[in-house]
Amino acid sequence: MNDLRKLARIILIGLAVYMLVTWGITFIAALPYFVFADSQWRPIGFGQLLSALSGAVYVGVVFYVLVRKADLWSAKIVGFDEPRETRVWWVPFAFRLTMIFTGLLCLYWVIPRIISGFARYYFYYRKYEASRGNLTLYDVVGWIIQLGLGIYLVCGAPHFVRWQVKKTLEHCKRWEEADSISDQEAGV
Amino acid sequence: MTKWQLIAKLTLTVLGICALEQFLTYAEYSGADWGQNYYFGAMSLVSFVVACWLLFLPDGWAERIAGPIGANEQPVGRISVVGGFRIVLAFCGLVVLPDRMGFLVKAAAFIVVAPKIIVNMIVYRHIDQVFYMAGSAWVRLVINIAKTALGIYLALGAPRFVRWQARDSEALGNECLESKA
Repeated sequence: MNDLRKLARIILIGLAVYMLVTWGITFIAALPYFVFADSQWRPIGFGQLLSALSGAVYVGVVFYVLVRKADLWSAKIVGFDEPRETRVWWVPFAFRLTMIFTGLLCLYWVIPRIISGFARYYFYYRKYEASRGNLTLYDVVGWIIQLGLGIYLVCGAPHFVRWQVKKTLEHCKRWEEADSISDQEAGV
Repeated sequence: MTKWQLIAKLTLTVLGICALEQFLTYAEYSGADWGQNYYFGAMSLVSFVVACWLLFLPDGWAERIAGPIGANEQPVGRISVVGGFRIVLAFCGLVVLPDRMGFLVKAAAFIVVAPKIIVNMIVYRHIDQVFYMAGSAWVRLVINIAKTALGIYLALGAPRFVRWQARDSEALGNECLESKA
């Protein structure tokens, strides 16, 4: 295993541990709502509990994939876009790792939110016709876009990474050209 | 600029973006009760000052965090500076942006109905109910627009900011070389 794979592995396992810890805190915070709340408030606690459980499933899957199958992921992230001899070989790797990291984080935020939103709507709003817990079309469409964005980022966001790398190289090239022109002017 | 100074500067930039996000959040809270909610007003001011400091004057801090320059340390290449900043800023943008998706959908829906509203205003002199929002709702709208714009700009790699930071970093690198010499 080379250094890059090790780096990718460390960063992704760090993310998995972060998710596990924050999920644990959310679960403990949601528990009293469900256990001690009266019958009217229990559905809200139920929504939160469902959200925490969906978070648990997601964190469990991510933990399994990132810790047990870490070599597979790190190999996918490192890729073979650029030969190591060129000085820009690390740029696509760093962008890809960042995108996968962000995608996992984005899904971690949005999946429990979707489950909790629908649970509140079905178990609280429809039952009590309360002002809280209603779902609008904007919410649902926003969640679908977030979910799509998260999945795209977890897949490595190939088009976005390619575009970012191209822009980075263009930036450096323009900078060098501007410097060479100013050097020539100074020489004259 | 050495490798460790660049890492310190990138970390400070991430913290600066976090402070900017906090500034917008506190401004939204204080906007709900404009002029009376002094706590959130003061917090938004403090966050704004910290954000400006971290984003626009990080060199001194970066030098202190990185410590003295080693004898064999060389300035980092341009690709490292530009690539590092673009990666960090794209990450910040993609963290800020997903939360604003609901607002983007609403904005898209508004753009669809906007021509009708404008025609009504001009032809029938009818002002839509949407313009009779409370002051706090207008503040929330402005903050939402600012956060969305920030997210999109960062996700695209914040080209102007990166260009400015790269020039600044090169100047710092030259100073490092001179001090070593």
